[in-house]
Amino acid sequence: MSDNSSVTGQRTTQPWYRDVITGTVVTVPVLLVYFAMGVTYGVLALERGFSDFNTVLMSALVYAGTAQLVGVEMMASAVPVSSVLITTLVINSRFFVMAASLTPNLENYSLGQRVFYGLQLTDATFALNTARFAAGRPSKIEIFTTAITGHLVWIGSTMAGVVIGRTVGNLNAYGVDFAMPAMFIALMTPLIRSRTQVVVAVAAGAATLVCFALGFAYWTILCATLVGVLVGFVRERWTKTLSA
Amino acid sequence: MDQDVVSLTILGMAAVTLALKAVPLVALARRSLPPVVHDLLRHLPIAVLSAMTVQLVAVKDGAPFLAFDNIALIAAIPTVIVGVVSRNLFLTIAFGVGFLAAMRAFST
Repeated sequence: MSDNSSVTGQRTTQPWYRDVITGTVVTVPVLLVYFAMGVTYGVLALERGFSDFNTVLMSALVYAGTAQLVGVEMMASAVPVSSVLITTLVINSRFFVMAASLTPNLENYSLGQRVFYGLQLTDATFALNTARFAAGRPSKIEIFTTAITGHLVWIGSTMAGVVIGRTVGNLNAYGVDFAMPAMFIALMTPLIRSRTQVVVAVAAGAATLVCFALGFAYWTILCATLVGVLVGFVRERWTKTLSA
Repeated sequence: MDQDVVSLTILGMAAVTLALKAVPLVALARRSLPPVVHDLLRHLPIAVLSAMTVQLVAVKDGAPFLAFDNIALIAAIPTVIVGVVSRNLFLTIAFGVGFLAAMRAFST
């Protein structure tokens, strides 16, 4: 019998370091993309006049790629603080929905663990964890390994970006700017297993273009996501009614 | 740029973001979600990932950019195929980044 079951919240006899290894292995592809993105953000923030300290501070505390890039651009063009905060609220509102969707999996997590988990929630860890929770009961150690390594790599790569920004400059010639879309594609495609899910992806993608064409800008991701979710929901109800 | 103002703005952004990420995790802790909500949220990962991808590859300067000279959009097509066929996170990312870098190298 292992004495670590109370720590991991799981009935396994696996030693803790196995969960750390599993958590790291499933996260490695995301970590590589975080590294590329973190460097890109670091270079950009310096270019736009951020101090080294503020560049890294934002990665440590805000930890949300899109909002950080938009925030840097807005502050660089001296937009009022209130509109930076409102834009952050709008862009990051998707995390509210993601967190609500993950909550049922966190039954045996304490209050502190939930807050800590929330602090480190990102688009990528949301997709990774959703897949892991669906596949079984990953241990807390594994889940927090994903969360913590992601955050540390994000902060570390921002620091690297500060250094690279001073010495090398822009890395986009090497395809680095495509790392984030490639990661989202790579996270999404394995989840698609039914025709309804194809319809959801197409609907959300089309809605994104419509929202931008209509000038929704920062509301787009939330609106397009809701369209995709609703289309999937309605289509499923519809097919159920037909087959019943 | 006043770096103290930037620091304070960052603190504000962090507070907003943390509230959005953590409040549902804490507030919904002891409640089970109604089945309808569960049926809706099941589609969330694919919807949000698709929206983020399209925003990154098919939008430029706040407007849709559907054209043959949008190389990110072109690169996204084979990347989706590799993702569907391989279902491998690392392979798909490496292929996408490599494909785009190759397109840039050959187009100049």
